[in-house]
Amino acid sequence: MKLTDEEILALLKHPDTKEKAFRSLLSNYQERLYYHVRRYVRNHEDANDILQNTFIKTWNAIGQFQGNSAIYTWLYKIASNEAITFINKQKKINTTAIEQSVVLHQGATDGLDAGVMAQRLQQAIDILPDKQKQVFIMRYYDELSYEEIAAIVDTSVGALKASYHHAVKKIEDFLLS
Amino acid sequence: MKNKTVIEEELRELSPLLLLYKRQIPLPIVPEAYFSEVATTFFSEKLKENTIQQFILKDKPIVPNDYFEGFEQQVMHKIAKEEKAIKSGEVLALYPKDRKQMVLFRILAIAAVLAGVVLLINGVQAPTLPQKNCSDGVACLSQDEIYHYMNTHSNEFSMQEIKEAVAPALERQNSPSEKEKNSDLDIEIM
Repeated sequence: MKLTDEEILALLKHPDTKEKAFRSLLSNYQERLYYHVRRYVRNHEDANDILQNTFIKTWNAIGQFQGNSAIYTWLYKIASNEAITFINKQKKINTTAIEQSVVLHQGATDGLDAGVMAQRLQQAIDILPDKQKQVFIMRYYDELSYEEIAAIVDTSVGALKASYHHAVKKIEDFLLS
Repeated sequence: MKNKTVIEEELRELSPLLLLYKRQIPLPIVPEAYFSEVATTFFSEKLKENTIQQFILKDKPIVPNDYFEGFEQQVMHKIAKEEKAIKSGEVLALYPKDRKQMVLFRILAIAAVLAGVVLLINGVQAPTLPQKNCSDGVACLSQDEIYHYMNTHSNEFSMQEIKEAVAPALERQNSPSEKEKNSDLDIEIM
């Protein structure tokens, strides 16, 4: 039986039930968070590293969570920041192999078009500034409302709409170029 | 689902191309049974003991055991050491081993300077007066002495006696070499 966020938070406060509650938290959010961070990076290994770090940070900081916002908002914020930090570190080390993304997408085996499209779209996302990248991924892939995104990135809805529109135009220009 | 419809409508207006991409690009591949193992992996001993520890260590610098316990003592010891060095620097003489030699050298130097000053003063003051030769009798007296004596004893001599007595001295005075000597003498006496 799936525990609700409120139940998880209540159980997380007690040392005896902390692990059980955290397992429920992982179970509830791991997929959403995985696909979210996977949009920032091109392979499963990197996504896995980011997800592990996200949950480790969550485990360490769970006592500081006040419950003022929804728990998924908090998790998204941690995951998104971890992903941005990761890709910025990677940028400094080397330019990642873009070709890898072709074979790691399901459509790549069915036909070249889907793989090439995914590759081009990833290249376009890569050139966006961090904030626009976050907003675009949350809206385009994760299909979050502006209000939900605003709670995660601490920005007004108006500013987010502007960021998203700018990001869409930049990506479109890149794809048409 | 509601979000999806709204987002696609928005995208249709903003960029139909991106809407096409969204519909055609599939989800990324995830290894089989990955999600069922995330929790297990997370709570495995390896993650508990290594990854979490590594994560903590990555964010926090490593501090040696009992570092802060001995820190105060280390600082106080260092301060005391530096203060000692400063104090010893104040009392140290430049040449502590040759101190007696330095004093003797100074005394000798002062004495040499004083002797030099005395010699210099004496050298300046020493007159180069001509040695008097009293074998000539009255003639070796100075003019002042002669005038003084004659004024005092004029009643004892006749004019002739005076002329005879003064004549040799007058003759010597009128000679050129004697004139130069006398003029030098006048300058020095003045």
